[in-house]
Amino acid sequence: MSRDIFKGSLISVFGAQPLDFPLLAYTVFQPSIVSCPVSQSERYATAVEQLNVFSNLDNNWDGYGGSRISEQAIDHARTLLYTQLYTQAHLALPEITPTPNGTLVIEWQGQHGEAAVEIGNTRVSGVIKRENSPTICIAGETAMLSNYLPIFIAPFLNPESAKVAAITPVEYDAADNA
Amino acid sequence: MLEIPVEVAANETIVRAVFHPHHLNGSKLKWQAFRPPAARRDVSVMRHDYLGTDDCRARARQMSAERKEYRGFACLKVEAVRAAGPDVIDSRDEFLGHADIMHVHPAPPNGEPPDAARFDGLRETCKRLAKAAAYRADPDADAEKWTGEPINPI
Repeated sequence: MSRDIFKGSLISVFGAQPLDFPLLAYTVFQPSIVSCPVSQSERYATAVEQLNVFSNLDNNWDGYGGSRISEQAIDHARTLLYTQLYTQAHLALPEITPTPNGTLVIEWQGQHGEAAVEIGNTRVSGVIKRENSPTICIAGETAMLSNYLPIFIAPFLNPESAKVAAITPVEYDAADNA
Repeated sequence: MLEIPVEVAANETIVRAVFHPHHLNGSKLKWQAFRPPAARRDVSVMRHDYLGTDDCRARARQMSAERKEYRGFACLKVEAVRAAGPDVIDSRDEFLGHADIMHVHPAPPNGEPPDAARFDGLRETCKRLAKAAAYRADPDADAEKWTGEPINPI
């Protein structure tokens, strides 16, 4: 049993090669329709339902003065989850946790490392950490990055399963990340 | 009650009340359990050596609510906290026996993340704290007294 979903067909200029030099990369995103097992969609539906629970948290939800999770952060996280599902990025379902300052932290574990991002109203910050490699910092506007982050992160965490990578324009300065 | 010195000794045991679901992933402490509130450095703890388990538990249960169920304690030695980076200071203006784990940098303000380097630093510090902590689940949160394992950090 399967369900038609929207999937991005990706072309990358750098694939999964190590980032040890200043980089400016662009990717073409070409939509197409593919099939996805319903079971996978249901797992994502569970994650999205978790976001709905977070959106209903009141102030002091953690017992220690935590702020309400903003609707913008919830919407961006939802977009990110759907991007991961619809593009079938080679990533396990992330762990999503609300923070006391009203943002969301999303974390992925992969075969060769981990990635974590914090999603706010307008900005996202995060890191990709791989074995024996320098930490890669992620920063940008949430509205743009939530559409691409899973596709960008996947090749770093599971390089053998990812032949291509897709990103919005990303500048990487090895000196700043050393 | 014992007289409580303002200085928090390295060999003291401190506890932080743990709530489901936000501080736990199954029976494992999440690092977010040690993240300060917006724009602040302090993470509330109790000085277990002076308050005792049942007093700590009574205060923790008072904080329990519909979407934040009290489940037990994260237990730490003060020296382990300091080794992870933050300090531990007495904060008796909250109540006698209250203390704070003080992070080096404040958490970001409401609604936005810190920059990537600060996010990484905060996450790594909190992960070290979560690793240094022993989670002691309360086997019967409705019981009058603590019935779980003794509150001893790792």
